[in-house]
Amino acid sequence: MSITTENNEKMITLMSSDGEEFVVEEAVAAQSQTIKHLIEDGCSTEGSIPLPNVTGRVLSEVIQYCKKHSSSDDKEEKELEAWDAEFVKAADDHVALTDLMMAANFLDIKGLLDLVAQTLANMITGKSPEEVRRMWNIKNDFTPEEAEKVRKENQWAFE
Amino acid sequence: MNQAKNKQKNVSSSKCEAATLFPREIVEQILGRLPAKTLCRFRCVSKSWLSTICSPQFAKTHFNLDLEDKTLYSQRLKLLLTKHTFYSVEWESVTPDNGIVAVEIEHPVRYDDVKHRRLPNVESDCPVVKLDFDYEELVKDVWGSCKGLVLVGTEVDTVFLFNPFTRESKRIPPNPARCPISVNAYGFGYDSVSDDYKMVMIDVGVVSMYSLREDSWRIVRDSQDNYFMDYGVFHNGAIHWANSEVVASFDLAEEVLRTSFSFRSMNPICKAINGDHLLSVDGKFILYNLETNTHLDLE
Repeated sequence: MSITTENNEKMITLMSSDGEEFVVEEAVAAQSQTIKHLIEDGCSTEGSIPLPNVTGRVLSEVIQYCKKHSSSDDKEEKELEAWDAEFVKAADDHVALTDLMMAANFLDIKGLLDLVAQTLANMITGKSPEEVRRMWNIKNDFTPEEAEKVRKENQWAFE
Repeated sequence: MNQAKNKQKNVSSSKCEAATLFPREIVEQILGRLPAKTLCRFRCVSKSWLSTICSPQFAKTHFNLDLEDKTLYSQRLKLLLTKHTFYSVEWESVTPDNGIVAVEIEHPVRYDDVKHRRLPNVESDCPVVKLDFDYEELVKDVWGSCKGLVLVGTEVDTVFLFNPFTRESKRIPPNPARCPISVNAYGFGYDSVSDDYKMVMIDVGVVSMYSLREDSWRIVRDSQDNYFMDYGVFHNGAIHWANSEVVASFDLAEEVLRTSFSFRSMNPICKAINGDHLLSVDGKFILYNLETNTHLDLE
């Protein structure tokens, strides 16, 4: 269903994978290309838009970002950058950031995807392969011989 | 439904959902923003990271993200190529205190005029570090660079493609059509239509072309009347050469050689035969005369 506010803003309801509902202005939600297309295809008229890949915790962060970015114009670029920096800082750790990035990818919000990807990239730039594996539970699936070969070929990058 | 309300709370699905599902596109987005050295190190993380980092598709993503990134502190390694010298600058080294650290591949011939035009902030006493390069002892000249790859070599038969970011190199096979005693014109560029790097050689009128995709040479035109020598300049999908009368361009996608400008119809300052250089600078294509310090925009 769609509701209009006093300002005549069209509202839509988003539902997270764990059943949490968020009522937001259409302009805010349409920062997500995925949602924008769903609205255009008429999927918002029959109640809430289900987002099966995003939990309520992550979705509330995403909405926070979209609200800020739909209300700011270009003149406030510096302020927006500072806000972005605080926003990713508040996301706390790489697990929360990765969740946020998966949501940004699924919802197709380029600004948020770029922001979080850059934050994660900065986070791992100085790290060793072992540290990166631990961060994301990545299995080292090289045989000892393969591991030695690839390490040897890229030795300069460890110096 | 005027405000958010919880239908149900599912506590179990919070943390660590990312770790198990980490799709390749997400990995690529993060890796695409890393400096080249870090990427080479992360080839050791796992087989899937190795295959992602080494894939041509990823190389493109990485290159394009790099182009988009306009921030000074983007921790990127930039390569600045001049006619006879190339530098790379680690932006992470740029601070108000220590200026810019330029990494230079040692080269016998300096081209000072162009160097200062391209790299105005580098102090003459800045630290110079040599890159490891397997064929370093052979490197006498830089013949061209395009989209991340540099063409280096000693003579036309000993040419290497060098990726200064990964420090990997590949030898280009000798050109069977080459006449050993003549002077050649050559050039190097990227064909965006077929997604291929190509080297072109004009030798006694014969135009031959090497395709990296095919890893072989073929003759694309067996005669042409104009005489060219030296490096061509890659600009707008074509390699350009100048002689005393014309500027010719070889379109890498169409594989056709055309005479694109005639000096006779241009401003008299361009009639100088020696000392004219074709340059592609900041998207502009210019003919530059070192002796008179004059230039003409060709477009």
